[in-house]
Amino acid sequence: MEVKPNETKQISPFFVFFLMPGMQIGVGILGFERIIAKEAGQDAWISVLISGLIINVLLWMCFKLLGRGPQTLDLVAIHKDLFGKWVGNAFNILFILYFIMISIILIRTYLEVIQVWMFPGVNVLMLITIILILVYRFVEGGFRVITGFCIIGLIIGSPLFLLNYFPLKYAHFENLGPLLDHSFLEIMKACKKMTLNYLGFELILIYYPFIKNREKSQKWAHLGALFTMVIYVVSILVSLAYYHQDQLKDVIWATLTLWKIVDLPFIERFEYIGISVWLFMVLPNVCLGVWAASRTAKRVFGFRQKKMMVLILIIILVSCIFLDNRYRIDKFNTISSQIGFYIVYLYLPLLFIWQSIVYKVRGHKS
Amino acid sequence: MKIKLLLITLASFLMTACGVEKQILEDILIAEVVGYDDAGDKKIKGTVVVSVPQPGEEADLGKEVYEADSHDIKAARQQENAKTPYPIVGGRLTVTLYGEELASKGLNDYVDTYRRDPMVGRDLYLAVVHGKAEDVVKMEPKLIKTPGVQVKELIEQNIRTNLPDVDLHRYLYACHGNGIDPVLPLLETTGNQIRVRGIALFKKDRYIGKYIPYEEGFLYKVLSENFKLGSYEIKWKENDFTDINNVESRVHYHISNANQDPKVRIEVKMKASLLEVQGYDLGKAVDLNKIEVRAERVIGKKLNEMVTMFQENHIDPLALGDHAKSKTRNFDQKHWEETYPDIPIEVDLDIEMIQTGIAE
Repeated sequence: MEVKPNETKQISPFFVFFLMPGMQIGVGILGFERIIAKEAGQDAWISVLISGLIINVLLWMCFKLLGRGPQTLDLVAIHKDLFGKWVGNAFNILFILYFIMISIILIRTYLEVIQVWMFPGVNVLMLITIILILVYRFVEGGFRVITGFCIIGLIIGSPLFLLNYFPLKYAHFENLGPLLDHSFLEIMKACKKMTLNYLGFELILIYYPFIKNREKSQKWAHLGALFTMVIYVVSILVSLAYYHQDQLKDVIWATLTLWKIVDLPFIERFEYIGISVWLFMVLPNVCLGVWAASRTAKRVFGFRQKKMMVLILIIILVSCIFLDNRYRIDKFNTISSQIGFYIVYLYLPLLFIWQSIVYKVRGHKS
Repeated sequence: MKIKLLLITLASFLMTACGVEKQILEDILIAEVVGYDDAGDKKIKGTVVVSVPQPGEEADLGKEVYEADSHDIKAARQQENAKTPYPIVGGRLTVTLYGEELASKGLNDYVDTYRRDPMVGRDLYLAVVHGKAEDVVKMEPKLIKTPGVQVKELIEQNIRTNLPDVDLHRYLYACHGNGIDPVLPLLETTGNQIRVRGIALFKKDRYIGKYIPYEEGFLYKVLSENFKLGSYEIKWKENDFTDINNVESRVHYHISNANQDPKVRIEVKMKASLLEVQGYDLGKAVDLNKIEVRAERVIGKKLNEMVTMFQENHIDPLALGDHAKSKTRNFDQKHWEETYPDIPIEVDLDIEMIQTGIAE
């Protein structure tokens, strides 16, 4: 199986900057504050900062993994190279499931927001079907179309970050003191909880072959990941100043609730617009997730990507039907967060070390 | 391929609607002010003013009052619906009033729905009514000719000078946070008017029955936040008053040794101007220094009394506990709460007269 996408399907390295936050900023940002502040209180922002930096180290590892061998341009090739066909494919299937899982979380959590905030009686099944049809159309268009959509999504969504200005009137910045009053362990626990929100950078392992002048893309990837980090840090700082710590513990969607305070002369309830616009941030995420899953599936099973995609979309649809209340969604989120944590923090470094060892041994032989 | 595309497009058009409930402006009643009173037997009485849209190009919004008894707030809403031609919706609710009796039993149960309901905005004002909340609510529709909400504007206007800045978010902030207690405006009816009586003091969600009178609301504001308006009348002796106008006031809290032997110093810096002076000699210019010193003494004494009153009642509306926490490592909440009534709190007031108006 050759990994050589046609040049007409490739993107410039610069666009990796958009693909990073495009996949990392999803539904998590609407309510990650509560979970992290529970662990680390006013020091939560430090955890966000630390885990953002760790993510950059892991990203660097990803690029190392990709750059070493002559043929190891994506995850499937790396697995095959290191573990052989059968074991390698087993790992590949795990990753396919993982990407599907991420897509399910994104869609279901976003729909939960719509259900709770806007239309309690909405027909979830139909809404999911519509979104999945949209996803189908985008992914069908190929990787370039998805990249373009990521950029548009980020541009449309970015004015929402300006909303952080409004709560400043209510801000108690002394809430951030005393600095570092939590133990190292607590801060690290919060870092762990933060993982789910940073997930998505590992997709570089899949779309790397689609980048033209790949070597130049690493700089942009890191910048993109740092950009994500800055946005998360600003969000948590504003939330910590706006809410009392004890109050934050039972605000499920802190960022969304924060938008409630936005009061413009022509619109009283800004969060409705916010939620609607947010679709443009969530949809590229789902597209990328589905694309990555179907692309890996294609490389593993050798079927056409479109067929795999239809199958994947059906799996997502069925799973969403089963996730029908807050309790289950929350549970699913927690489990996925755990799985994501182990994949990113444990599996990737292990893979990196294993690859180093294997290449050293091979180097000795030849 | 084209047929497939057409089918997909058609399908997405057909699937719109999606079971979303429509709310057409003419077919709903918009709740504006709602009041709750204790109705005995663990029941509450809800009274609501709704605006009734009327047909016609320049028609005013009509207003109507409905009441109902029930155990909780949303059930009261349901009961009210039994009397209304259209459903009442709470999306534009601007003020929620609580009767004194209900407030003294604790508001948590009756604020929860506003915290939980995504329909409700965060700039909703909460207030306590001296007496029955329904009196104020019922007075509301009679009072004003144009559509608009009297109580809301009343509170908003007074927040600039005599009431602390309170809305739903700040109430929740203070109510949920440790080391801080909320305050709410206290309203009353006099004759056919609604009036701000003062600032109702709370211990967590419970109204303690004490309040700061309206005139002294200014002093509370001086202690609790930085602000720019308001005036205060200083009484020297019988028939001898001076009115000073606050140009800018800043407050800082210095808390030391919070975990062992706490000491608090509240530093207030006020830039003021003279508004009105009585009983001085026309021939001489006003002695500003003298007024400054005397004002500092009189107001300072009042501020100290206020702080002592908070301590005696074991409430902390100034959020001293919260300030202490943010300045102390490993803050001992329990120790603070135990020692709070006996902490020496010193109010350090510095008034600077920066102008005397346009007369010397």
